Amino acid sequence: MKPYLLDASIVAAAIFDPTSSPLALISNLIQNNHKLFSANLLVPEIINLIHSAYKNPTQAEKLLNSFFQLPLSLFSANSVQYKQILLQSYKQNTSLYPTTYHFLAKVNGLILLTSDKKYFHKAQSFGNIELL
Amino acid sequence: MTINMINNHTKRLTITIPSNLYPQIKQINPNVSQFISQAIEEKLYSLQSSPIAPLPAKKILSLLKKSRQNL
Repeated sequence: MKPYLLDASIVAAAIFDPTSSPLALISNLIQNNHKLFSANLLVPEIINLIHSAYKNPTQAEKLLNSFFQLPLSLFSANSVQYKQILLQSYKQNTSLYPTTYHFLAKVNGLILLTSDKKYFHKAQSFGNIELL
Repeated sequence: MTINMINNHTKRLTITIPSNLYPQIKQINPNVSQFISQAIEEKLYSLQSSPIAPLPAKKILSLLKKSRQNL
């Protein structure tokens, strides 16, 4: 199996929908001792998403616990890389968030796995990306 | 109903019940404190045990894009 970097759309689907294909894929990766990668941007994104989607703090806490149980290794970008990410997002006409995941996947030799069709079509030519 | 005092040391709350609700509660249970305490316990139980509604993929993506604007 290819080494993947998971973006927020994949991780969120795995947490929020127990029947989702991202959850099945993540379970499969964990069972086969594959490492799970993402960007450190993922943490505030998931927390913010939980906060927006669930008004019940008990449920929100449960979801956050499920997220923290995922064995993810998180990459972060340095100042030089952030400049490159910014330029890449201008070039592709995409938002900075998905571009950050994508860039970090590419520089670390990983494939970005996303369920964001719009981003995928805009950024496909940059390489190292798959749509789930 | 308002909670107008929380004493962290004694863990005691002072709850003000609107005057129109008080006789109704009194009718159900003459022990109003017990009634309120049970109601809080029941609410807590329902919050803790209520299932988490799954979100469909489309909704997740739209929420993600919306929440990025507020991040």
